[in-house]
Amino acid sequence: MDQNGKIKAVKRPSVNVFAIAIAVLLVVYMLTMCITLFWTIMTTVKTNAEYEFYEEAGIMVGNKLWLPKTGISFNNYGMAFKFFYVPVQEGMYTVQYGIFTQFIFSFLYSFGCAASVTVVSLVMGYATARFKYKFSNFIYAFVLVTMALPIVGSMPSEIAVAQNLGIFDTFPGIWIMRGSFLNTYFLIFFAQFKTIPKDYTEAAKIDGADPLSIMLKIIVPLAMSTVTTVFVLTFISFWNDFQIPMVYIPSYPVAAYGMYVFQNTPIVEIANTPTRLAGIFLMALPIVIFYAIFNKQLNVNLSAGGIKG
Amino acid sequence: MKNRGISALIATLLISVAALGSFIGCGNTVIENNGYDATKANISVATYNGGVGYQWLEEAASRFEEKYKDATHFEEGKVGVKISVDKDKQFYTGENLSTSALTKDMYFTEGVDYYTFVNADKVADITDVVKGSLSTYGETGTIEAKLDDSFKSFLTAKDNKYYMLPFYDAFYGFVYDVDLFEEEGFYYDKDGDFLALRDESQREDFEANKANGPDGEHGTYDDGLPATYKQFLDLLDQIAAKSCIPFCYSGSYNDYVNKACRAFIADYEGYDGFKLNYTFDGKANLVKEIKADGSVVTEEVKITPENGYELQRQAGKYYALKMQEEIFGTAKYVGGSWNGYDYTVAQSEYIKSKYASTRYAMLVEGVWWENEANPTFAELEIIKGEKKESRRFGFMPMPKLKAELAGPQTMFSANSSFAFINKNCQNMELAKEFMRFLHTDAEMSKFNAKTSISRSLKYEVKNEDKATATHFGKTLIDMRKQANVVYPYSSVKMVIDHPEVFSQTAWYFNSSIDGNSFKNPFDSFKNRQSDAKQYFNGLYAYQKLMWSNLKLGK
Amino acid sequence: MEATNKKQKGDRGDLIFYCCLVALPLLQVAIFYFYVNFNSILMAFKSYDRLSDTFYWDFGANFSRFWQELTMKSSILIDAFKNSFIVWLFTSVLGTVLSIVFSYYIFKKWALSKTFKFFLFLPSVLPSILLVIVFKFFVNEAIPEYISHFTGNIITPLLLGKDSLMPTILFYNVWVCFGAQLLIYTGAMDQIAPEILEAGKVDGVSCVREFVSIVVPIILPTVTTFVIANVATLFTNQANLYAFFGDKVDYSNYTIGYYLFVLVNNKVDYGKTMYCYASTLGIICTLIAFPLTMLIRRLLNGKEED
Repeated sequence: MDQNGKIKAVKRPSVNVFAIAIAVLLVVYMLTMCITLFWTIMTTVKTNAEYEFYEEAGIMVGNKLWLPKTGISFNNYGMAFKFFYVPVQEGMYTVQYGIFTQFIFSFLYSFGCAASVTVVSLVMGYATARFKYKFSNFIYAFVLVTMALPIVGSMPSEIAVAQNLGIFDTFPGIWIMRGSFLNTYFLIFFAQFKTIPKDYTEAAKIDGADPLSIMLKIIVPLAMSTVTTVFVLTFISFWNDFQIPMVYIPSYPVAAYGMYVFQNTPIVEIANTPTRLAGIFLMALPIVIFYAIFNKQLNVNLSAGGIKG
Repeated sequence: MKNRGISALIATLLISVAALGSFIGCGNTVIENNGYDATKANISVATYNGGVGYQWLEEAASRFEEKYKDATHFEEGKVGVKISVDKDKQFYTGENLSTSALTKDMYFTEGVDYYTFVNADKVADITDVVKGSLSTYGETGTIEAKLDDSFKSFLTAKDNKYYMLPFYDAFYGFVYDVDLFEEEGFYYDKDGDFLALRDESQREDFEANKANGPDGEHGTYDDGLPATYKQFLDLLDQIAAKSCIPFCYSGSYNDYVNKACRAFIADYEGYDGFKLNYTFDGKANLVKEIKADGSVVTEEVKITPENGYELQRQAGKYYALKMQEEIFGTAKYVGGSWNGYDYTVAQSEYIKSKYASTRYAMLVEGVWWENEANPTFAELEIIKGEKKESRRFGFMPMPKLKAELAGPQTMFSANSSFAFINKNCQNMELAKEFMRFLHTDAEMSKFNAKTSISRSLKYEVKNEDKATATHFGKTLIDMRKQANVVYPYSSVKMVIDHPEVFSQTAWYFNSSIDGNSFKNPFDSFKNRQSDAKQYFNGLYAYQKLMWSNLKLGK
Repeated sequence: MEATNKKQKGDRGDLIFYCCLVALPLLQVAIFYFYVNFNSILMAFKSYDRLSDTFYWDFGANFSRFWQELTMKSSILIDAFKNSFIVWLFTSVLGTVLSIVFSYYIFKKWALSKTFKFFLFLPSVLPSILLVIVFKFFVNEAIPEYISHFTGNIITPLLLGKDSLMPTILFYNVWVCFGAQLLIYTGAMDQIAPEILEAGKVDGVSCVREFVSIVVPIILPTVTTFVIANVATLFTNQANLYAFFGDKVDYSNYTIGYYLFVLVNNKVDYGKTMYCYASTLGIICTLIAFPLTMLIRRLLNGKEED
């Protein structure tokens, strides 16, 4: 039924000025993005000798803007891979964490934090949207206030609290610390649950269903697409975040932190633009692949989820 | 359907990570012994591997180890010492360390806010090191005696104790290409004409014919370099006339230009005049009027913290802005257009311009640039077979307003780098001894020669060390030897409590013109938002407005 | 009688359930927001003494400083408020409008919609450091060089030109802002019952009409959420200025969010000395942003909330 409706929309034959206008904008957008990506990839397969020092008729002009003229080299990736280390001090020893281990840490960090943010925002969104207590209004307003209020210099006290609770520098600790509902996702869940009509639950209530099963079996499944979306969005932002893990889980360097270290390292072999870009790309690659694979999946989920009507 | 999608997603993620994990285990993770030697007394020392590199520290550590190879007093049952230098981790900046735990025993780093560390109780009290004797190393004085007064008062302002020692001098200015200057004749001779070195065999005559330079003495490091503002500007025209570009600079970090031009202020005001900007105690010569012909009428004013903003009328500040406007107000001396280079790109463009179509004569930079540019030098060695050592650069001394003012330089060190010991150091006695060792004249001389950069203490570079320095390093060593250096520190409470007013940039560049605030003269001139005189008047206007917010408490 | 009883029982059950739901998240917030940030908020009423490392009560100081900075002839704050608003207009208003229009295109599955979706979402996937490096290179080095190569004209790098800096920054912020909104809006549009659109189609409604009269009103609650979130963060948005320029941004280009960030994060120059003033500034901005947010929420939601 749903699918049919869409197929019809696709088949609409008339010339559609509105669609063309948007398409033009989108093509321009896509081109800017493609050029940027193309340049980045092109640069990562150039040697630095060509990028900076390419000579034309005996004059050193470099080749930053055009296609490689001296051949393609994947050496930058090799170098980036080789030097993508983060050292962690453990007593008199230094543990050099390589890129694979960093990926594992990244995964644990992002998956755990994304899960806790999603669940907490979902639960609070559900509670405040579906139960009309005064306190719910207060929570909603409170979230808005905290979003508007910039907090200044609280990091030392946050570290101190985490240390006192014994959760500093542990994965469960960071999952708990990040598991807050003071964010946009709470507002999204709130809005979503607010739009679901009361009738959905009234029937179940009359049948004697308890509040938990109403939530888990009736309402949350309707919001599954939002759950997935929120999870993916938070997962990605945690994956790309290096500042929080750098401070709160210093013993478990994530790949984003590895990239930060790599970007700033003065080691001569890799202190050049092509290798540095290759390094960032290396770190971004898993998530780009993940996205490319699940792009369709996300689509299906979104289309299939939600309430009709 | 939807549930299947999510399960598939999560399952794939988990499987891929598990597969990755089991494939490589902790595959490419390596555990390194940090050079720890169980038979010896150990400490670990970290340095920010930036503009001064880490090689100096490794060399010093091995000299120290050699000296104490039979020592048994550092730790019971251990013979000799082991200093492990951490050169792997490049992130020992003051900024990073201020928010994380200290894992090493000792640090040499930059970007340090002294009181952030001291108040966090992270660093060891080293008063005994600073005030103690250096007789073990054959010296009669103390480290304290080598410190400038400004450091002495600033470092001990809290509780009369020393927790850190200053690390290296951060001078901004103009780097010049000695080879190009000789080839193209960018030196002045005694008659004020330009002078080139035609042939290496004529070097003796060439050197003899050079003008005295800004210090007014012949036979010194600055011979032939422009002695006055006018000569400096004429030189730029000459460079342009010879189809070279006078300056390479970093457009993205164009505050380097402001900081380089700030050097004009220090040199014009001299040690006592410039130091007032930190002590707020003494008499200053301030601009009363700028006449239509550009000449300046001054008056003497007594400066106290209450009227400190009056210092924004210092004549040196006007001349510095005027020079900056003349040089960088238009793009004519930077190749005709503004660039967007990062500073590393600017360094690279400057060095490799030798092989490009037009050559840059000077680079706007800090004295640490040579070390930062190592990747470019390394690449050029591969491509052109030209070693870093074979290129000759120099650090341009500041010219004077008039020839009569010839004399030594007054330099401003934008210092923020310090050496300190972790409060939880594993072997405090050893760490303190190493600290002492590194602050002997002999070691500081070696540091200077190795890095080209001076330590922010008083000492002399030995000739045998100087001989090992790069050409750039040699010119800097000579210049520093002759110069007075002002450091941006004092124990004036107002200065310590209000960095937003007295920071190295805010104090010299914040300006209020027609109700708009500016903090970057370079941008302001480039965008035609003001001229030098307006910017100068704005310095005063801005700080006068700020003054009522200050807590002047002593 | 029995029914009332049951209802009361249900109400109490609801209340217990409600408490169970909110208890843990609230505990988390109590510890990691209230407890941790309490002192930071109090700082607004204090001053800092660096040598003794103490914050002492100093009620009016920061507020009078704010007032002075706002009213004095040379004001950073006025520019910063103005810029914050401009950034908000672009990222929130323009960004949201474009996101909705693009979402509609993708929802209708018009030509290349999957490809477009991929690219619109891509900036959210890539690390922002990569985008910033590449974007900065492009506008500062590549574009001027391409232009001089093809036309012979020399232009100032876009992020350094007085007139091109802000537009370039605004472009970047809009350029990377579509990801999350796109996913949510297309998701919301997919929830529209096909019958409604079918009915419109039978009546011969054009695409524009369908978009404006059917689709937008239906997804409006979702859009409202984003607009509200954006208004709330009006003064915390630093528009990626720090990523591009570090602390080197000229005063005339400050946003409030950037100003606050620099005051707090410039550890080398400032240490803790600016915490108090920044905290005051934060509270004042919240006092402006919060009522504004509630007002806009009320306007957008109409009477629905009452």
